Amino acid sequence: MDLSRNGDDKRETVFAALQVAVEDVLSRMAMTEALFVHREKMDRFCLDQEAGAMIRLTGDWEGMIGISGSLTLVRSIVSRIVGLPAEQLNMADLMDGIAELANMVGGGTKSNAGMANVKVHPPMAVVGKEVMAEWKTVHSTEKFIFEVEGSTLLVLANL
Amino acid sequence: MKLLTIDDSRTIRRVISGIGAMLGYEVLEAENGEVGLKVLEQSSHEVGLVLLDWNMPGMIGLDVLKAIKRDPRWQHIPVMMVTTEGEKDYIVKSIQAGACHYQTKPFTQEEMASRIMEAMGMGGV
Repeated sequence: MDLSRNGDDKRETVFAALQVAVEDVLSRMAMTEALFVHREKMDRFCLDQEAGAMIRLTGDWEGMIGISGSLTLVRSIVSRIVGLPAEQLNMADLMDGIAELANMVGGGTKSNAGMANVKVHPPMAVVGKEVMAEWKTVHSTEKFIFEVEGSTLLVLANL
Repeated sequence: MKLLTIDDSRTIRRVISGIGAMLGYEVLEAENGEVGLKVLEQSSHEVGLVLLDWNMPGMIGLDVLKAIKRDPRWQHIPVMMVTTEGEKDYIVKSIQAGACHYQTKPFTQEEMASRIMEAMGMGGV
């Protein structure tokens, strides 16, 4: 499969790979289910929930993948992953946890889509009730909405 | 015998420590390759398996792996790569450099436990 250019049909293949990666990461690492609800287009790439992380892809595919959710949800997911009670996790734990989630989703997307010659860069994370991070982009961003443990997990893709 | 996890993600180090403890192993942790090699300097006689991330700040996992396999004091210690990189090229490079196992993230507890048992010569669980 030639995925060397970001054509619309090939982008759809990558989006499908991303969706599988999200479900796989949550299932295997956190033993919880991510239910895909729907997707929509956004004109910006913005992490506007209480906890979020972004990972950049460069090479034959260029772009960003982000995830964000409420502190309660992210605390619950990280708690499940590390096997510690949620109340024992501090902000640094949540930052590292959501960053690693983004890292695994990015890596999983790359593997699932067979994206050759793509580098997944280290993630960045933001956590806090009043924090928002936005990147200016040329193309529109796809927003995938998942339901996890009754809460909304947003997955953004600008590819 | 102890395990050594070298990963810049404390989340992954905690996961591996938890699985190691479940299997009865004490797990030493290092947040990057340089620290990992220092841990080996001090404790290589106790380490029975190194679990090594690929993408880390500073030395990447492949360079840490090569450093371990170059050193006569440590080259007998099995190394398992634990990484999000699932491409064949990464796997081949790791095996050529001396890694004995390759585990992609994400993984289930059972998968990782089984891999650790295999790498420690105790068969899968």
